[in-house]
Amino acid sequence: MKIKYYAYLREEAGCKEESLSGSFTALSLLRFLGEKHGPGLSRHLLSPEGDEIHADLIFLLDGRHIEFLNNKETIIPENSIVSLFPRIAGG
Amino acid sequence: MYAMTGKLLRVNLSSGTIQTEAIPADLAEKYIGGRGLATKYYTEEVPAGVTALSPENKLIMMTGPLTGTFATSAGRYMCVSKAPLTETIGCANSGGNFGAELKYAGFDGIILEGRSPEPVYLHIKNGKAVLRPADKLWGKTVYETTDMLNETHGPEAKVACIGPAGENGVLYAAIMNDKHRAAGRGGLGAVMGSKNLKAVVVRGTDGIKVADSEGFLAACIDARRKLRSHPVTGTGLGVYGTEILVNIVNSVGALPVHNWRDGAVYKDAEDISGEALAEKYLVRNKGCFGCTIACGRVTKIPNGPYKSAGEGPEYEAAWALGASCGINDLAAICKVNFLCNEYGMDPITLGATYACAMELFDKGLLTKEEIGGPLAFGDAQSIVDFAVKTAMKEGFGARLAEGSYRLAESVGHPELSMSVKKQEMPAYDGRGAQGMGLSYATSNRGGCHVRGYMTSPEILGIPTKMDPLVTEGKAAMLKVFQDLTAVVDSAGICLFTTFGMGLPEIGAQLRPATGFSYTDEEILKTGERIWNMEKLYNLSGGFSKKDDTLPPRLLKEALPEGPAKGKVCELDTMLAEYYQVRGWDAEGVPTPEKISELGLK
Repeated sequence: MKIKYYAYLREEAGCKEESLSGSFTALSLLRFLGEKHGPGLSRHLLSPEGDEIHADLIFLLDGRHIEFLNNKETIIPENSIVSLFPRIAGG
Repeated sequence: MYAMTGKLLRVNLSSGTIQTEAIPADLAEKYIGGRGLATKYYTEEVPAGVTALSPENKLIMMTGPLTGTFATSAGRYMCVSKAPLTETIGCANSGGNFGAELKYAGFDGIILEGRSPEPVYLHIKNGKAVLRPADKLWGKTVYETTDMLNETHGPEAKVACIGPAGENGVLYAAIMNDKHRAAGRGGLGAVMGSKNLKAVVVRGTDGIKVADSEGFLAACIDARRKLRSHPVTGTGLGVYGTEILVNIVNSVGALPVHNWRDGAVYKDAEDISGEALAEKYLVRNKGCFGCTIACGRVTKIPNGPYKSAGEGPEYEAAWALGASCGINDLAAICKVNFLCNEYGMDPITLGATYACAMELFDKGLLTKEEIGGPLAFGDAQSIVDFAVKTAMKEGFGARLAEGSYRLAESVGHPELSMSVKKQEMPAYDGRGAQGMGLSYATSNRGGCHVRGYMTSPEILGIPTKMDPLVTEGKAAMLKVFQDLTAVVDSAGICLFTTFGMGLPEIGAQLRPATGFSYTDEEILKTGERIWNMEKLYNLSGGFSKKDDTLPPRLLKEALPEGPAKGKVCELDTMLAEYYQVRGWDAEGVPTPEKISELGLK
């Protein structure tokens, strides 16, 4: 799978995107990424307790908000694209 | 009257007479100010049959009660008139410092009537106003005009003016203030040009008195704290500007490509994104009057063929000149955006008209001979070259100056204009974001994103998350967004504040400012009153249900790829529900009961 970071998440992750393989749910993926890149990124991905997806994180699986899939329990398929955005807006 | 000066200027450009009028307090309470108050005056005074560029049309500039105060991002003023591009009610608002300065000079607004026999500008200083010859300004760009007027009237004076596009009657000419800020959509700059009015220069040193200064200050501080602590208004917009949307809208499959023909996933989105702009060309961010968000972009192309400097682009412009035209050269996009500011044009309609022309050329409906050369998707140099030609109406630029609908119609294919009521839709595909499709179709000023920004719940999850691919609940949510936006535009604050706060914070600032005791519900009802007032005016001008629609492409051609693959915009379902939610009949006409409920007759 490919993980894409946007806005200031790129600085925290130290990259624009990366490839991973493994079996993840949305939540376990974020925990993995948090541990890999450290607390600077983790604090934007997870709730302070680490048991929920951060309320300000936009998590897209192949372009679909995971809230409209199975939320934190959403299974991340091997060949998918995960896009992670902080809460942003414009217009 | 509190928070407002209670006075407006009435300027008859035909006779050269200027009068000061009192604004009745009951009107200020019932219509708030800004968009609401200006539309009330306009619809009372200008019959719907009057055409936009005729001397009988009027142009109203109006601030809101919060404009120029300590309230959140309170630098807005509204321009209301008949729009040349659509011939609907036209209203466009802008930030910067002009609106606040107008109030400090002693006026809430200006009603501009008639047509001056010679070019003039209006000079306002501390309660006094005079018309002055503008023959030396005519033909000058926005930057030149502003500099010349600041040289004459001092650097503190604030200038709203038109560039050559407005003088030449480009149907999407903008009224520019503080050089880089635009009341951009619908062509109100052409209305100003048709009146031979080059500029309004204003300088004021008075203050604004609020009804309850202690309560007002507390409400403002609370609202400002909320904006500062919100990730969007406290961090994201200031760091990346509105361009930050490019990647997320593309990721959800709603960034239209090649005049909306080739799907809504742009392969080079990253190249034109907010992240790319911040990395390559951003000098610093910039705020309008009293703004804590500061989303403005001061940008510079340091070298290369498009070496230049200015402000922007915003997200919509970057899309219109970028993905919509198949152009991934961010320097060229910035350059055209700068030229739009300099010559006074709306870059959304310009970019969308380019894209339409590119498709017409691609289909053989426009020839090299007609254009003066090829105009293919991806041709960055052409969009730079044609920008000034469009403003000056030179060669094929004269046809581009009419907007995409008239261009496509002239070759027998109006369906290839991606517009609603002849105004080009901005940067969100209504097939990938169903509620935005409904928003475009029902907008009172034609294709527009800032009349009911359904992108907020559908893509950004603010204030709640709604699935962009379904239709359920969209009509009811859109009504709330449309009514609330009318309130925001009338109060004189920036729409972007609503990413971090809502009606309670707006009401909490309005009440102590004005001294009016309206509840939040009554304030939102005022927004509904304003929306219906605009709708009734359009209906009396001959618009009907048949105009509340989208280009056939969005209704019949399914998206070929991406998260919204296979989707068209299911407008019919949503529109019937929308009319019902609005309390209108099946033809989209407000019922007598609704009109009475809103106190419009």
